[in-house]
Amino acid sequence: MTGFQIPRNSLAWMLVAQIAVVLPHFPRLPYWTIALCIGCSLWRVMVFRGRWSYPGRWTKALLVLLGVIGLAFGYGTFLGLDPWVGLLIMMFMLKLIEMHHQRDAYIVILLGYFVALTQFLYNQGIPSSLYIYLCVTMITAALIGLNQTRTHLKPIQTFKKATVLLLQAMPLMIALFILFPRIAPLWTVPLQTDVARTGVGDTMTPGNIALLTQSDELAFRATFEGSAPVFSQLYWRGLVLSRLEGETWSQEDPGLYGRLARPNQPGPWQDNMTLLGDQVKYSVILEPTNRNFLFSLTMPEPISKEGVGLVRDFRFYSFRKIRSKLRYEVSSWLQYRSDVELSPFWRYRYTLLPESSNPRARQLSARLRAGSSDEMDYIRNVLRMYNLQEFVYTLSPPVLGSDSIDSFLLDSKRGFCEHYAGSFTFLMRAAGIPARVVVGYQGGEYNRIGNYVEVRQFDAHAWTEVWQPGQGWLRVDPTSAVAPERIESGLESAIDDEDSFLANLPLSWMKYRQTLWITEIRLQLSAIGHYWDSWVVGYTPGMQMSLLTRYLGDFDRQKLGLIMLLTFFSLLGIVAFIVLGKRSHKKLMAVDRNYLRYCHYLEKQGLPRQIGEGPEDFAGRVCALKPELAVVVNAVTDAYVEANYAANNPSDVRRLRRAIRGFRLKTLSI
Amino acid sequence: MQAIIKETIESLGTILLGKEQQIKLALACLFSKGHLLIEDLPGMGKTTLSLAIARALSLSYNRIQFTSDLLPADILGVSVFDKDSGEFVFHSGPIFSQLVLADEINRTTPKSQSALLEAMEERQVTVEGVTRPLPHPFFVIATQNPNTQAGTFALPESQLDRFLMRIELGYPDAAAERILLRGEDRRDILARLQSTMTLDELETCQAEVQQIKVSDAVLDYIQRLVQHTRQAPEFAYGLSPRGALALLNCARSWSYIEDRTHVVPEDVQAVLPSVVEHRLREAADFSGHGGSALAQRLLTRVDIIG
Repeated sequence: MTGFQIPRNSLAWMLVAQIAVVLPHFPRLPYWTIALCIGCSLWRVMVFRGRWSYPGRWTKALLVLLGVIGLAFGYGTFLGLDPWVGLLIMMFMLKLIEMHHQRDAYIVILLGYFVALTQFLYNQGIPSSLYIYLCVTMITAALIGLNQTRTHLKPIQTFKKATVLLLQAMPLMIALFILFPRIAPLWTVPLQTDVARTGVGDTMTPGNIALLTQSDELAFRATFEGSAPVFSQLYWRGLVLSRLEGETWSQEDPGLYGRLARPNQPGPWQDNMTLLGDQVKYSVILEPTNRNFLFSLTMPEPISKEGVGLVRDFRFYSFRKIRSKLRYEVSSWLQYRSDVELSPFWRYRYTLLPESSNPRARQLSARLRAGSSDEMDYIRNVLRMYNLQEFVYTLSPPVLGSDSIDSFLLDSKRGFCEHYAGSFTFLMRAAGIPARVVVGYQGGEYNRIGNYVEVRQFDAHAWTEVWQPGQGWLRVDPTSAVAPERIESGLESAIDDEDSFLANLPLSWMKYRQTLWITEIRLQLSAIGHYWDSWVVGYTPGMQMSLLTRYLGDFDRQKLGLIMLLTFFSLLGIVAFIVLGKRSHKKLMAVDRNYLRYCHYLEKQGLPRQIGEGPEDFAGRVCALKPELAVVVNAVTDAYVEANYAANNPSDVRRLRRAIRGFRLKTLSI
Repeated sequence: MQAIIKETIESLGTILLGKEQQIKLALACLFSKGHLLIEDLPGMGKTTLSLAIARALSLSYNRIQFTSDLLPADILGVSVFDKDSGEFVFHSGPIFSQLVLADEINRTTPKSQSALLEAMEERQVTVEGVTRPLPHPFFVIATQNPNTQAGTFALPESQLDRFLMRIELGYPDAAAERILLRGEDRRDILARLQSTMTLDELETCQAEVQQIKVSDAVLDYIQRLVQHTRQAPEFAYGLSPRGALALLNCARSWSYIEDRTHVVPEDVQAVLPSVVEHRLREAADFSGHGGSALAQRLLTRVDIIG
């Protein structure tokens, strides 16, 4: 065991930083790691105080073994991100009781930086980033403490130094962030593979959207170019469900749709489409959903995004599940006419109903159809039925039996949007009208500070699209017949008297939308988060390219590299100028300049003047080593001493110049 | 004048063999009107050097052997009642002399040390309310054993600062020691030593030293040296302005002894260790004996051209 004792400041910051770094990971770690963390810190402190000694080799081996086994049992697997982060953190803690040498302390500190960064794999928000910055400052303080003498006893001073150091590094950090070529990593971390995430699912059964509205989590934000469309126009289509099996609406077999449309290869079905009115352009930053679909307004154009295509029923499909924030730009036509003709095959698919289910609903449909002049009249009659009868829009509908559409339409008459969309589609199909359910979000909150629409989970919605010959697909929202406020101003006002809005989240920001100042703060925070998402987290290679192209014109990777090098060296140059400029703040006198030139010549001959060596001493040394230069060297030295010291006239260099010329001639002749 | 100085150095060299550097430093100290502290082990020739200087420069000489029971009155003098005249008559102490050798100054108590040091600074003595000037010129050569030796009272920094220079004699080289061993008793040679410089000549020297030219370049160099001691972290504290002044004055004397009309950086460097060592302390050293390493570092860190 060597006598290395880590400085007190360093150890203090190391322990504080370690706990700070591991703290956000604790919810994901097995509970015994907390005990391990505290135990290792305690042990380290006792070692520092000289009470305990380091653990023996076998103890350490046993601890590592137990830790690995514990992790294996805790996670049940070593696949995925969490167990490996757990392993890293465990080793990080155990290394603490193995710091025999200064080198070990450096390893702990570097591990600390690394563990701090793993937090970014889970969360990239502003609070988390600020927290990591704080952690990095503390680790840096430990690093500084390690290089301070034992006489530094004020940890706060060390922390201040670290803060200043990191603030000084900030401009470089920003420059690198903006300019450093953003390349995809050579390796990919399997990010949170199958974490259940709140959001619209792949299917719809009565009750699951109502459940979704219990959450105030962010779904996505959309920034419009120009002004946003009115609230009632914001139907964010996510997926189209056209198959009814039992109670569940699900997607059509993707094989039936054919090829996905991409910007340069439009789908054939796009031809018989008429786009009307103005185009709306917007960019969406989608929160991770762990699903394959993207949200857009009708009628979108194909977007240029790797692995994303437009499906035949006008929604986007991503081949990879969306596991991190995704930014995409869409332009949509809010007015359109599509599929004026519908092939018999699709007409069949869109009117398909399970055999012999919901008989009473079928009877209702037949009765209503008989009382209507044509299909449009039938649609209106069905909507009127919703409106005039005792239908209630509620978040807490009663549990329905096997023929749920029957019991909803004729008995309970209490339901949420999926009940209305599902039953309406059923009634349409029962009357032979092609119809399908669309699930997504409706509305959202307009943030005037950031000029974007923010859509949260409680904005989840389901509606119906029906097909009419000559008119194509028409959006019909049966919910609007029951609760028009839902479409006009959102869920909260629609269920206002029910008092069930986010009933399970008493502290949600969203519950206080009536309080003006809270809303103001919320909008501000949300806008800041949005800018962070779009400019920092969402700073992709493409964005970097377009940003740099805007300021630099056409450029390529080579040019970017060159700019980086130039930036780096100019920054270095500025620093060097400041540091070195301080040293030679006084301009050298002419005589000194000339004398240094002469010293430089001699240095090239292998005779450098030492720092602090006076001219006569130097001359003596040179003469002793190179007697052949004695005359000229003495001439130079005499001239220098005469001008600089005897005459005190350092600007008079004529004699010195002459002497140096003589010296040059002499050295050249030799 | 330079011939006289050269002759003096040579004649002193016959007493203290192979120590020309130290002799020149001692003379430079005298020419700058400063007091000299010689620190070395017993038997290295400290006393011999001071006695030789007194003889060569024809100065009146007194030696005070400092002991632990020495009192200030033993140095300064005392008034004694004279029965015949019926008055108190002042009997001047050994300090009333042109060259005083304060031998083993760190053997005595701080009280007696300060009596001497006050006299050195003021060049006058006040006893029983009467101020008496000391003779002119007035030099003190103090010797001390290294502080680490038993029975010593180390001089504090403020009192060390009163000495313009502190030199160490060091062991003689083998050739010089051989001559010493072979030759006759140093005391006999000392007794025969002829005065080579008169008092007038000494005063002329002291006046001419002040005429030595100091260029801006040398002042820059001295200021950079001083600045370095105040900034570099290994120095516990920097040189005082008095230290800088001492450095300049000694460099002048040195260049005068070297027969130059102007100071060159080498003069500063030659006297620098003797002038600054006892005024500096290393930051990591609490015993106060790291001065010589610091002086060497100072010389190799600060360049003559700034």
